[in-house]
Amino acid sequence: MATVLAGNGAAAWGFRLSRVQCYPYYPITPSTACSEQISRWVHDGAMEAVTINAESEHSAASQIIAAGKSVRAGTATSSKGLLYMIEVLENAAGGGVPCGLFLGNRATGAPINIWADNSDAYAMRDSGVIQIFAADGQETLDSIIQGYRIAENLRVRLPFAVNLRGFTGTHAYEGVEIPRPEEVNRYLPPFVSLHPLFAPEKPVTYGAMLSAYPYRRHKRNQMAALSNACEITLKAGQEFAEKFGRSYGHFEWIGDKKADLVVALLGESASAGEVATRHLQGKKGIPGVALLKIRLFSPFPAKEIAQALHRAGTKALVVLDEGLHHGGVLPPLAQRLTTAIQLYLGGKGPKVASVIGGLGGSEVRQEHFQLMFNLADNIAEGNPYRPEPYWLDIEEDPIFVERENQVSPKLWRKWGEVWKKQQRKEKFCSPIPPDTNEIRIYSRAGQGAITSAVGFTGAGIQNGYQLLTVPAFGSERRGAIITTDTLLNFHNERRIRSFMRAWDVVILYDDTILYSPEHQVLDGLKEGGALLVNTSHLSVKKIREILNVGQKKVRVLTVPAEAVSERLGLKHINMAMLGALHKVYDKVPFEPAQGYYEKNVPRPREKSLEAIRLGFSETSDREIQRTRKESRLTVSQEFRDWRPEDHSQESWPSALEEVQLG
Amino acid sequence: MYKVLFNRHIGPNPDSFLLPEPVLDVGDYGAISTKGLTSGHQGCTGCGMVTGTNQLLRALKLTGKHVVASIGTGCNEVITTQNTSCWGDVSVDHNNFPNTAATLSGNIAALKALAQAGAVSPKSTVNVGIAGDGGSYDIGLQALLAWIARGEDGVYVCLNNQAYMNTGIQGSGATPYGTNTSTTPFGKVIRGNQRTQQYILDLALAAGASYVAAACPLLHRDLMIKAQKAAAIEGPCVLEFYSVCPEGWKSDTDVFHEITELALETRSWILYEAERERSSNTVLFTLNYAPKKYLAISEYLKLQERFSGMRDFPEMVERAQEIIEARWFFWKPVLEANGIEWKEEARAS
Repeated sequence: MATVLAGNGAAAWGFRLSRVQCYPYYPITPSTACSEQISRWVHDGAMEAVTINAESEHSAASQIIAAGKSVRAGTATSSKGLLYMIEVLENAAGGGVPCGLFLGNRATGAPINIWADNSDAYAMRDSGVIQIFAADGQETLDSIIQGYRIAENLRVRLPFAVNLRGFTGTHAYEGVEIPRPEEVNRYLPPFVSLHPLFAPEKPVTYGAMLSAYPYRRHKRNQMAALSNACEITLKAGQEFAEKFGRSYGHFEWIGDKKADLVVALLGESASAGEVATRHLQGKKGIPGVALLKIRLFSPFPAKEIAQALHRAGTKALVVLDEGLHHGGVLPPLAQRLTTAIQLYLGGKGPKVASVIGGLGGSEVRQEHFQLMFNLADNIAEGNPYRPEPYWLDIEEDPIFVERENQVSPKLWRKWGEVWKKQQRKEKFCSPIPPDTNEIRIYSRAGQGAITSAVGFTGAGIQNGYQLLTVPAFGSERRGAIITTDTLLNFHNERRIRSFMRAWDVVILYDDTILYSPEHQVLDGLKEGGALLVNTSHLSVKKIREILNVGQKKVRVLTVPAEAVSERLGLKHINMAMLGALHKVYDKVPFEPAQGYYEKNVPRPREKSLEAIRLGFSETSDREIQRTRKESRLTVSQEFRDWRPEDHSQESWPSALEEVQLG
Repeated sequence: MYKVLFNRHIGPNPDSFLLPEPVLDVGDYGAISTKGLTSGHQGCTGCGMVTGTNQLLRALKLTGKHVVASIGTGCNEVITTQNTSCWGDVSVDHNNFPNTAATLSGNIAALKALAQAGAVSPKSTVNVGIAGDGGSYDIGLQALLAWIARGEDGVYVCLNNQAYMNTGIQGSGATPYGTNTSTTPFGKVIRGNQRTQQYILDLALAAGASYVAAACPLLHRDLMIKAQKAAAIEGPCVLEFYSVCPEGWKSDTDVFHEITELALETRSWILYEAERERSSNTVLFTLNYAPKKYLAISEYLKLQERFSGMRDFPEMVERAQEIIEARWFFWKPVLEANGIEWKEEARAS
């Protein structure tokens, strides 16, 4: 059965199963948890590896490169940490050191931004490292094991990096199959260094200085080794499929075999794309559509991708880049695909449009993919399109915004004629009906909402469903209001990793959240959905009043979770809330779930289990005897109407705007 | 801080309270042929760094261990690995300029992992990191201090020639006061290097090194004893070698001996060592050389054209002398115990 793991945890398992012998680390958000997990294992004696508390990413990279010459080594990093490593990573590639990296992709700033995009991965693309993009925890775990297999192949011997989008990948809890160690051992034999430093009979010098001729010969060989990785990746993926039943290649083609319209991208954002693609597939008036989810970014499988596009008869290709190529004509992925098409298909290839999105944690949502297919359709029909990249969700490109007047006049003068010929077609943009159940928890950081959501995820998986829990992330402080979202998918035949943001249940861990002007807790709650509040002193009626629910068909329930936990002497209310959730939402039945909780609840176990049971039994939608007096808290209208000043929509003066000086 | 103890004895010191037995003096090994760097290296004529490296490698090889050298970018790397390797039976890992200690750390971890797997015996190998003063005092300082703080077992050697010689003689953290370098030129307004040099061994001790020692290739017996001690003592050991650089110091190529001697007699290079007892955090300092006669710093400035500017400014020479006296004051207890007058005024002729 699958184990509940976050992307970082899956990466840690990847390193553990690969029997990494040296693991130096320097933590950086969002990939910290991977290194934390490995430290925990090593300190508990569960994993035999030499860990090093490095004082910087630069040193951590130096250490894997040094150790990687003799033993299997790896580390994890993100963003600026990776940029700090790049200085030495070129030595790993130039020195033929097959060490491994796990990258939780994150923006590189400035402005400083801790959320996801591919800027860091793009920044390292010229350092000679094999770059694989994973889309979820399972792919991450499997790719790290395969990564060592590819990197240590004698025709390759290069470092590799497995990329996973920050937070929505690294912090997303879902069911991950952990392969059995002995099977991995058979797939991935022990690392044998060809030139170890510790063989006195065979001394060796690494990092020698070469003059022009041997240097260029060495570099040519290095390039050849990287090209070999293309073929070896395919082979490693096939053999992995034979052993473990999950197949991997250069890319994944999701959708119609014959697809006029294709959207290409890297990594985790494909989750939303998959939902949109399946929604559009076979719709009346829509030609074949497909999502090209590229896994191997470097070495770029140019020929294979070009052939796939040719086979599919693709007319228009829209490429989504979650990062920039400053000063370049097109962003990196678009550039590579354009080159591939030009080289292998010439004029017969599809037309390519580039889209930039997903920057700095921006979500690439399902409707964005619909719009990208819409754009592809416009292009396929022969309408003119912009050679420069389009921007998702910025008031520049009418194809991605509702109204033309949202576009800056300057841009309109430049591109207006082109855009007038672009149509936003209803058949592409029809709303996608929710296919999943979704639960949102509003809690205060420190209340243990993530723990309970992860527990619920495990219980749901045991019940045979696919679940995904994504906690909110950012610069949370203890006591701040945070959200934790859980998705349930009842279709066994396919994975869904993209939220519709239509909640079946909304849970408030703290009744004061009802008063928060920033959190409109009823937003997105489905008709007939349930609102569950932890309160010992507010009545259902009062809650309806505070929220102004009116005649809306919403069930409101309360649970005195704090009172329950106090009674049991528990510090956290999360276990009682977990029990209450089962009462409100019965698609994950309580009885079998309890069996799961008996094995997995945090300590003190007996009390936690009792809290779950009491939470379940004391949840009610009736007016019940209050244990405390009803709150006298009154909130002025002024407070309720207050909103923090939001400057996020303002941008720095740019060439697009008239800047008045003086 | 740590408790400070002084060794009464002045001179080369094969004993260590951290070791069960004293290390051997070079002659005690009898007739064993050892090689340092093999011929063909591209070092300058009169280079002190090459001699230092040779003596280091010979001393380490005398102990019978396999030497794995993690070397930083700099003269030492460039002149020994260009299209070939002059390291003979030493395994060499050159990575980059800033990360010698981190590379050393990685190799120590690899040795540990191999030992855990039963592939090698950890005692059969000595891990040594070799970098210049630029790679130790400046760009590599973070990695070095962190390596010491982690307490890993290895030897780190700083070949100190007091500036960035490989890139064209720019000032470093080890450049003495008043020196003319290409980034601290002796100008009409600003006269040479205005900073006082730092001392890496002080930093290393503060970070928690087990053993630190300053040596010079002129007194090779002393240097080789120190290298062997560093290899034998558990934990991070840091050595610093005085490395004459005719190119950067603008000195003649045949005065290696004289310059070093002057450095010792004027006390601008002090030979000493310090070893740490961890449980009580006590550091025992040993002075390995005390000049019979204290020469004034002006003598040291004579042979090196890098000091040509400051020679004409008595106040600068005086300042240089003050720096030396301030540092020499530390050894007052040892000197007095040996009946040596520690004050410069009393001894300078």
